[in-house]
Amino acid sequence: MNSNINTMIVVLLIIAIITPSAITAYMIGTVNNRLSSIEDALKPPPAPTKLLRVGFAWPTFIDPAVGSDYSSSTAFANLYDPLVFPTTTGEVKPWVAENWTVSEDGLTWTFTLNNTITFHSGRQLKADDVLFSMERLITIGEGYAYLFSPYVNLTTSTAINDYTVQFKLKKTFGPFLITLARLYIVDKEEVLAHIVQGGTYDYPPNGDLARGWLLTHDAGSGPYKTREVVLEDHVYMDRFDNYWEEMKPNSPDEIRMLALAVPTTERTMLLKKELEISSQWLPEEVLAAVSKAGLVAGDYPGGDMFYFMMHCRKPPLDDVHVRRALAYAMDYEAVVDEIYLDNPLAQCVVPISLGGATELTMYRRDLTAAMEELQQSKYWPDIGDNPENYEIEVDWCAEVPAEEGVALLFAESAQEIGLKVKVVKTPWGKMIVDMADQDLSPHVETVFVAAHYAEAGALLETRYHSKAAATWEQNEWLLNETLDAMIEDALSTCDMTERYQKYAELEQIILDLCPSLFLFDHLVKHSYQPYVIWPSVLGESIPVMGYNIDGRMIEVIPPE
Amino acid sequence: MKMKTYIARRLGFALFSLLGLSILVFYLARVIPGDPVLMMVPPGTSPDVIEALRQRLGLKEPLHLQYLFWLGDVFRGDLGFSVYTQRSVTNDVLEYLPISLELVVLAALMEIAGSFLLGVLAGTHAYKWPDNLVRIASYIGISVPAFVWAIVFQLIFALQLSLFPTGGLLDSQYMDVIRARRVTGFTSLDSLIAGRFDAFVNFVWHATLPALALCIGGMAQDARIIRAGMVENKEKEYIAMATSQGLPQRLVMFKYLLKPSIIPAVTVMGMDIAAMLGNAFLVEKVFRWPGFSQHAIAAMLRSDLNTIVATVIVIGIIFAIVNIITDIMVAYLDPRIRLMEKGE
Repeated sequence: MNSNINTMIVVLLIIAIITPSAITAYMIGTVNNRLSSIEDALKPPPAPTKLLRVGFAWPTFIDPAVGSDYSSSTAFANLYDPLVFPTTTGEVKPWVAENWTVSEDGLTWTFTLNNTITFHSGRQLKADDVLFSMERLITIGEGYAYLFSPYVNLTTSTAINDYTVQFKLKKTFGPFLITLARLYIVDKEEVLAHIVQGGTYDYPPNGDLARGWLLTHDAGSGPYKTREVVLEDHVYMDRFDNYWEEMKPNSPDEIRMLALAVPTTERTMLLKKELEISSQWLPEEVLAAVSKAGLVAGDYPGGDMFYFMMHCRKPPLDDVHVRRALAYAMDYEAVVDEIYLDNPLAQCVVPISLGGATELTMYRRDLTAAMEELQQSKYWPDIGDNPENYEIEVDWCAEVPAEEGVALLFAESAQEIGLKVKVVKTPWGKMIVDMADQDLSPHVETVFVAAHYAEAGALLETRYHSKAAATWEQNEWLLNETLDAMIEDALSTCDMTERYQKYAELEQIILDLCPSLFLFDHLVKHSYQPYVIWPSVLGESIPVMGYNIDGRMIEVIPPE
Repeated sequence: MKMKTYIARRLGFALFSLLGLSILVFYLARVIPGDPVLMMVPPGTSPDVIEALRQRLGLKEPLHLQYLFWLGDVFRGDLGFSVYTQRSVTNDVLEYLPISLELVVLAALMEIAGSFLLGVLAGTHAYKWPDNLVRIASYIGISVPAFVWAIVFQLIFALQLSLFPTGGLLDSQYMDVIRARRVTGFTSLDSLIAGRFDAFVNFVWHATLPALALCIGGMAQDARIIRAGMVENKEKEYIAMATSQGLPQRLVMFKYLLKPSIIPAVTVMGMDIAAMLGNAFLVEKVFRWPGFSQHAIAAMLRSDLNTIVATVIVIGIIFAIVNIITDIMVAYLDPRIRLMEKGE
């Protein structure tokens, strides 16, 4: 028996050694004339001359009817053309639509299209494609569909001719034009050609509206076209030679969006010049370290704000005086001096880059005022004598470690006026579930919230309108009908000046209600190579998420 | 009991365990906090769309029915829809699993070779300086987590010395070739099938550092076990007898001493190698290795229910397979186990 086993082991060993050796020998034999290429395989590849490699956090969905986050929006900006293009001032300029008119009642918008635009497929972009893009987006209902589905009437909107499209609205929506920077035009024929069965849509029945295909391909007309998409790893795009609009002379020939999650990996890649622009998630210490090594640190306003959302229906935060006491007690300066370095303190209820009201008096640290407010609350003096009975729970997002510092600072500040705060690390998944339920929601949630389009009203609606109360963009549970009506009125105002006046009034009311701590306008920070010219970090940023890493604007001039 | 019956019995136990595992994971995935649909869609999404997505994921059914539907689909080769990648979980598994398996196989080969080498070196030089050196190295190897090794290797060998790439599976010029002729999903095999030995070399070059980082802990631990076994067995009477009979030292060493000494290490090694698949996520992240482990963790963080269940089951299957192979190897190496199985 023993000898049999030994024989078997020997045979197995021989097989284990001979098989790979034979394969290797065979392969070496067949590729003998390519030894030099094997040598090449052990060297870093020569980089294309104008290559832009950018770090991102996955997921990146390149289908404009599916994605809506930072990296997806960046991919859209490069692969697709929007109907109108956002500007650095937050307005829009003609793009696919050369000009437009709006009816007096604000319900009919007619767009005349540029007739020189071709898709990556070679087909010309026409009104039918614009209408189809809107139909597909609203039908799927994901991505940026929520900007249009409450307003656009699909049954009455039409393509009047090849280059004129008309959108009819169900109700007036002042910022409609601004939101059209999120309508990315897809090639209708290309999409229809790639619909497969097994979906849940009626166009055609049980079709998937090419969702499967558009996961890894594009159907756009943008300055770049997809070469390869590997989910969770990268999106490679090549420059589209027949792009209709002029590009900068040194625009990248190729853009690679790389999914990076580990700061040390990004640091290594930056130092080895394997990454032109870092992700926006690098810790301050890594940013500082790579800056010392010759990389450039740059930032631009992200259009988002860091809020401490206070549950206005949960004692003791149901008393406005307690909320104001906390707002006065908070050490705002320490947040931006010690944790989120150099981010500008909030100047209004929404980020200033969205056109927030500038004449507001924001809450700043004032312990005397904080004590005065606390003493006016219905819980005084018991809240001062027995703070353990009024413990305030602050949940911070476990995936964003820096938030813990701010939460602890809040606890420390509250303690100075005699209040007790419990700081709880909470996974993002749980935060979303908690915030969907008024009873489960904790006293305070710490969340960054970005505007869906470049206007103050966008954030006022998502942050304080009751219809968004159960989403992760609110934990306040204000449920204030007067405020809701005022927000709706402002959003339905077509005149921009008047609309912004209404936004300013709303901001003052919200500030008085003090449902949130308005901490700072978030700066998106990147590190990038000195051979990259990036207008967004040089004061020419666009206040719409995704439009700041745009191959049209960025130049790459690698050192000789 | 014959070996075939033994293997069949082990397979039966494995299937039973996997069924239990699937029930447990299916249930746990659904009770942990996090709504996969709410995590996927932007906040303004209409309730109708959210309901439709819940319907699509089968979340409206009672839990036991959800499980039965899922099990039925699994037997048809359908692991469900992933809200994280927006495609079939089966596709994801087929894409990511081979990439991680290749890394694990390379790490396993390194672990086996390294642990034998270090273990035998320490065992044959017990209480001398090579033994002490291996002991110190092993302690460091065991105590430092794999992801720290990954970062250290990346900084030294990729950044400072530029001997290895920073990360990724292949350089892009080879990636195009391999993707165009994808046959097995295993980059190494596809390179060879495509006749691109240069791509194969490029792949091994990319895989070396992550594989090394992944196997160091296991290698150090197995080396200690082999060494301990050798030191213990050296004192046994049969070794003294073989030596006294004048058998060559090499024969005593490899035939009579090493064989029984490696049995505990083989068992531990099997478990180590199987565990690498699930534990590789940080190493994969550091080296931008688009593998199964990092995919599984990302899906878990987003409450992607179908992916959570599928990845845990796949890892469970691999554990079961490796366990059975290990048991068979141990049975071959240790006659007592075979005799016990035979009832002798």
